[in-house]
Amino acid sequence: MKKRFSFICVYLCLLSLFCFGAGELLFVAKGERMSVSENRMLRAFPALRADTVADGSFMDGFEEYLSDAFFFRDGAAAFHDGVMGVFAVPDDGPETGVVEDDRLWEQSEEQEAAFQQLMESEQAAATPAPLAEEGGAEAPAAAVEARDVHVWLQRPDGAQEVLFTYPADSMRSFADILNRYRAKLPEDGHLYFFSPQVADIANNIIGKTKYTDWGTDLVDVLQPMVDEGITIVDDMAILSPYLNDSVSPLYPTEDYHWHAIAASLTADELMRMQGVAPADYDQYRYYLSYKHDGIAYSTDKLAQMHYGAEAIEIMAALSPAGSYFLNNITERQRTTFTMSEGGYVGFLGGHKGPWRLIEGGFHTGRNALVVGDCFTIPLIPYLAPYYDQIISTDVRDNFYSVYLAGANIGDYIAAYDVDDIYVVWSTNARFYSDNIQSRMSAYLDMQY
Amino acid sequence: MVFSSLTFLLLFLPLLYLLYFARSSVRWRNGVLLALSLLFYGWGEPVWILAMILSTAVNFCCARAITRTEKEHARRWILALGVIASLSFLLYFKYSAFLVNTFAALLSLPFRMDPPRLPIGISFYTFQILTYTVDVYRGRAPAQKSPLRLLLYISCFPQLIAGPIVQYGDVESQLGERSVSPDDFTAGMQRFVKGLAKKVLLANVCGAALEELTLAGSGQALSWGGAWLAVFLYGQQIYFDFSAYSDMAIGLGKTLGFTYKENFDFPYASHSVTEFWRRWHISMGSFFRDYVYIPLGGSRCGRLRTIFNIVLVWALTGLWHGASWNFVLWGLYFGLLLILERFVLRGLLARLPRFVCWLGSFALVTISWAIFYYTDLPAVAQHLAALFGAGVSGLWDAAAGAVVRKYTLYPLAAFFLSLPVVPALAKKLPERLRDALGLLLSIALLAASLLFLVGQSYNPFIYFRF
Repeated sequence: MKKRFSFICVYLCLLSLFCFGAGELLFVAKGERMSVSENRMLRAFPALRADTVADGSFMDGFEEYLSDAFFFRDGAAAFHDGVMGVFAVPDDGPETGVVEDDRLWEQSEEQEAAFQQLMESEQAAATPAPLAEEGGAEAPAAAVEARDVHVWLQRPDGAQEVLFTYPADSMRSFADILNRYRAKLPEDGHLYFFSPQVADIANNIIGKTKYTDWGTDLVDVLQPMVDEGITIVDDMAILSPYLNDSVSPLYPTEDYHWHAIAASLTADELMRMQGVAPADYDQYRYYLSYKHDGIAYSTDKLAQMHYGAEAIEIMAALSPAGSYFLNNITERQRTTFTMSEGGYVGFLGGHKGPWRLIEGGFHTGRNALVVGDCFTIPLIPYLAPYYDQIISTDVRDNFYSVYLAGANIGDYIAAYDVDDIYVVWSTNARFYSDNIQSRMSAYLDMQY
Repeated sequence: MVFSSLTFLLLFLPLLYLLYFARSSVRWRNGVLLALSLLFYGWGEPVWILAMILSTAVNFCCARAITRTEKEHARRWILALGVIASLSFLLYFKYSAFLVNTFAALLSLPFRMDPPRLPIGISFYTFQILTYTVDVYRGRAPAQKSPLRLLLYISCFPQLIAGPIVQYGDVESQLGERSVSPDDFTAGMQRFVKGLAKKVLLANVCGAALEELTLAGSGQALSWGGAWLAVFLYGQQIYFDFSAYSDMAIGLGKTLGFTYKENFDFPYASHSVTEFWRRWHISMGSFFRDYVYIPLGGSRCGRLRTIFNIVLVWALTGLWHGASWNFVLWGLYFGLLLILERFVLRGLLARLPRFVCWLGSFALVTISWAIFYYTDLPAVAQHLAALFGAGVSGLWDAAAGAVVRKYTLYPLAAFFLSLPVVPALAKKLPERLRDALGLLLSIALLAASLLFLVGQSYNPFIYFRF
């Protein structure tokens, strides 16, 4: 053997690989977990059954699980992004109105400390009070008793199988947040909240026979807890009749966001609730994107080969309309649909901003705020015809900058005379997540 | 399962070696390899194992019958039966919908057939089975007595789903007797890591960059520069993707005691299209030469017949890549270029400076990727027109600019590595230094590839669909 040392190194590498793989299987949690930074649920260990092996879904799920459960996962992603950055030429400036501001990234220590303190206080406020011990002082009774919220799938025989549960305490604190947002509106203003499901949930039903429908008791639980002027909308009920529509599918197969048609159906129902006849779906202009992404995670988890991808409808605002990146309440920079972004993030610059302003151009005398996650993006064009202006923001970590915003959400609501608020948090956001319980709450009134 | 997956790298591969080297008998090792190869193939689509086994069984029986039959007439019929049986699988799964829909369109019939789901690697293993039966018929190899050993030849996982196409005669003896030295194992693993890095660090990134460009069929006009950038990126992606798979297959084969022939030899360094095809997908070229072109008469039957043979072979080569007219067109494009080089341009090419020949060949091959990429013929036409400045939105577009800024050095590095510069430089180093650097580089590339696999999941092999 000429290369003994090399052989030993190769042997050790293989051993390390095996230790990694075995370690993942033995020590990493098998259940579903939330990745706040990616705004998605990490894959649980797939169900090992004869049917899942036969149709290959076990194997697909297993590979995803291994990737999601990888030790130092965030480090690996950072390494990947870092290497990609090293090999790129620094961008000289925006292509189409991308806001560049060093303040987004360069925060002073004082600013950072102040922000952390605020977030911690919000997290503490969101934590439910411990149960009173027997014989001790009683906890103040809530006006309406909070209950867990369930999302379920329905079998053909009518039996319901619970997919996941939102804890009652997180629903109570979320209701309080909605009430605080509502309080910022004028008396005739209204707040609508709904929670669209991701494609992963719908795919249990679409084209399948095991389940025929889905449902939730979100409205039953949350509606009694919120103030007047707030409507909790059952988006699952709105979309239910269209789940198996193969001509205009609600969800892409390669992505877990929703198609434009699903956003349109929801927006139409929201308008009908307000006594407004919605514009026809076909009156809008659409771009077809043959790019794979159509999603926020455009180059990562869900990327597929070009030939394997389907066309994803991308929404363009009705003309005439203006769209802008917005910061410091009034600083605006015009932006347009950018093909180089592709998919969801192509629409009006996607998540960049941190605020965006959309002018419907129809002079209705009303303005709206849309706040939530990426499911808001395709919704906005379908709301645009009914408002003079819509301001929009995605308050999730990585998508929001308190420094670029320059003012709290309450200030924006006041500055833009917002009449209605649409709060949209998809399944993935989870009511107990920091994005909702801390950020959405903190950014409303934080002091500048 | 694919090589560049965590399931393969973290679990399958270590488990394979653990079991494979647990005992030294070939019988044991063949058993382990066969079982794990079937697991490898069935991982994802277990049902297709049956199609592969059935095809193998038919050809096993045919080959045995050929050796037992003395009458040439009968031997031919049995050979035809084996060939037709193998090709019928391929024909049904890969080409039935294409043929039916083409005829339906020609006759204006109001129906359309949906293509059946394609078993992974069916084009590769069908060709391998054919080489077995034909080699037995020709007396180049004895008929295999053990059906399991024949199944191992077909299903051996390193080359099962994306080649190289291993001819039976090349590995027949290794199925019965082979050994692996630690040096072989080390070299094989280093080759595997090289392939893994090519796939994960270069091909995937070029593919991701390509996806961000404006392409034909999107409803938008292409820019001239964007059109060229797209075909350049696709050319790099497909080279690094496919040659990476071959590297991994050859490397893994070496660690298991098999010696597979090289499949790529820096094709982008070619000075003519003819040379390109001697360096690109060599095993497929050899197959078509040995099993189609030469039996048709090759170049021994006059100029016209030679031209006919070349056109037919290249139409089939194109069709082998996919059931779509763009692949046929792609094959015919190369057939035409080869005919021109052979009968018209030979003298001119000899007089031209080498750099001009290289540049011309590279440009012609790069243009061909526009035909290869789109299965939609109007999109092919739009992209080809854009390459020559027709119907373009301008010289350059924002999407192409964004891709250049975002990826910049990757395509350049890929292009540099697609030429035989690094091996030439490495040869000048002292052997010990070269070995040490090679080892360090392999470890670094393995770590980087793993991190990339976790950090991004753009990971499909292009040649899986063929």
